[in-house]
Amino acid sequence: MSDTTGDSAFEQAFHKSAERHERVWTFIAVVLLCLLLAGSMFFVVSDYGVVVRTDGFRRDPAAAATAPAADAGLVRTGANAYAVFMLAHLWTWTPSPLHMPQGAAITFHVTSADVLHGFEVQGTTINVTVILGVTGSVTDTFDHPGTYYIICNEFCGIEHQAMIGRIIVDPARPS
Amino acid sequence: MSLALGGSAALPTTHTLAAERHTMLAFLISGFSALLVGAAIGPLQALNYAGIDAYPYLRPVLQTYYQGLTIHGVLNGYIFTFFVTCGLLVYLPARELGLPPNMTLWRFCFGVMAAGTVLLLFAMFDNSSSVLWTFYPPLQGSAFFYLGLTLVALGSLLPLPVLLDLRARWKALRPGELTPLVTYMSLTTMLMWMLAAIGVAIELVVQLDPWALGLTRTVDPIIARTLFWLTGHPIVYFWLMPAYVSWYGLLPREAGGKLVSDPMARLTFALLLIFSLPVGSHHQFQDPGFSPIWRGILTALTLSVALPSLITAFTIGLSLEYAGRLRGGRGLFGWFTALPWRNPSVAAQVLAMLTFIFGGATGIVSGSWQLDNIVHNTTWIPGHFHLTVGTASAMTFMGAAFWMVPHLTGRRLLSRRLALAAAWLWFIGMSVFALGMLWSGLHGVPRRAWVSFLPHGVYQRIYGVAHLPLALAAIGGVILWLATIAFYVVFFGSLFSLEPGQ
Repeated sequence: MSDTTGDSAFEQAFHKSAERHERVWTFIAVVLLCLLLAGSMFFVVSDYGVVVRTDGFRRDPAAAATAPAADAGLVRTGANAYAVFMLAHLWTWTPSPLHMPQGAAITFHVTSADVLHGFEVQGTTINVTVILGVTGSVTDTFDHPGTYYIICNEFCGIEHQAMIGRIIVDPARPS
Repeated sequence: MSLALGGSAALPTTHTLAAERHTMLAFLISGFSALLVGAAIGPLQALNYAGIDAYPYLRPVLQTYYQGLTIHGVLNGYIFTFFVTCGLLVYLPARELGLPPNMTLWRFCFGVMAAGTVLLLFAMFDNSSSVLWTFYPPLQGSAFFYLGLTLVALGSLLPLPVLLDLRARWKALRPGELTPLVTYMSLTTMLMWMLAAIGVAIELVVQLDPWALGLTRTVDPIIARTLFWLTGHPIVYFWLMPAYVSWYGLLPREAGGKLVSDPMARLTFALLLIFSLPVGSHHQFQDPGFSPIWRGILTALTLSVALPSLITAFTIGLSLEYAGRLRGGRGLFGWFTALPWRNPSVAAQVLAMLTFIFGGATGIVSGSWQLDNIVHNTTWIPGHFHLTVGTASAMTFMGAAFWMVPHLTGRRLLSRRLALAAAWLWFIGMSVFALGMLWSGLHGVPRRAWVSFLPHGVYQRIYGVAHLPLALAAIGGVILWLATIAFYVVFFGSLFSLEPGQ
């Protein structure tokens, strides 16, 4: 507020209230960002369940070549858990369509055979960059039966828009 | 515009002033010519999302959606902004300090960027380099594309030595005095950009140029991405800070008042210099191998960079209130309506600020890693940055052009009403477009996808859920076409009109 030094009553009144409001506003902005920060860090350290887990990572230049056969489909890894190796290549997802049971924990291991791709499953929070030479992992559970689309969301060339896969979640058998 | 606030010693001669004006005009016209091409293509991409494929009718000029999108991104994001900024951030300080800049170096900056632009245009229009403005390897374009980018990036750093030299000469004349505000802000912007550009400079010179020329066979895509985003996020402040220079340094007087707080302006720019640099990897939240701890740290840093913008909202808002009350505005919001809305330069910049409130808010969403999981690489992202660089920066530059063209040429603005129409149409068109894009992003519609080229049934099945927002994006695009026409009739009409100004 250094250069509001006019003489009129308007100048003085404006200067006085402006100075007070400026302090309040800056205080509110700092507090707001601190709260956002605290909330954000809370989810980082204590509750990882808001979004899918995507911290799996394996660096292997030959990942695409050494991945299990593309037609392997779901591999059982636990009581109600499965893994699937998903290969992205110009311009398809393998395997697709992919059948999976409702309510099971599914871990996708995704890698690329060529350029960058984006592994997005519409209607979920699954969203992983698919990079050549790197395997990214993401785990999620499909609670509702139906068809989900795998949409490539990283530009990968002329047929990018058509790089769409399907996941079919089969309803759980009534017990 | 009363910019010559400088001292009496070593005043520039009439001759050097004319040379400065000519060079500034060259930067301005080059930048806005790039925007003309980029903005003309933009609505085609908006129509694409509504399922309307215009590209078959545009051959042989444009072959594909992706070629058009590459041209749109490169021309608008790099060429338009860099030329206008590298002009303004030398011209304004030179006038403020009342000293002539090093014209050789400033013109060399123009020459290097112009040469790079020619290479880029060649590589993009021959359809060999549809790799989009992010050019992630291992997708490869022609060598001309990467060499052109290298020249543009290196050229854009040259205003820094020009400014350092200007300030040093001014300091020698006025020892112990505080650097005037516009010079301080311009210099801070260029210092930030020099540090920021290190990433993409290394990516281009060490990785991509040799690779594109066939000297090396492979490129590490993760290192390339990380280097790109080291520059790629601070670049948004290289787009935004010149707009802030105008908002802090010029707009308060244009609106009939003054800047109410000089120290807050300096604090804002110092904070931007610090916080804008280490946040780029928030664009890689979805990359495999990104630990949750690092995601948390980057989220925190990203929120910190919102602070200088929140301070700006207060200081500029208050400066406008001061101007509005001096003009007779009463009551809670009377000062806002009392602003000189009939002045197209003021109207464009105030509308740009209003849009930036939503641009900033949507940025906080994308910068929080949990929420980014939903919106990453969907149409949310272009929705967000068309509110920031596409409106806050672009419309502020347009507002600056409305006073600069008469100031530089001595000619009158062709039509004040048409200029006002351009500002309002841009504001409305971009708001509608961004609303559509943000909303459809929540339905998982991917950005950068030629969805109108899909068989109609497939388009309906996958993106039918986002019908309404995708239609809004297209309507916004069409309004933006009208805004573009209105703006360029005024811009080129004023340049080539024979009517002398007042």
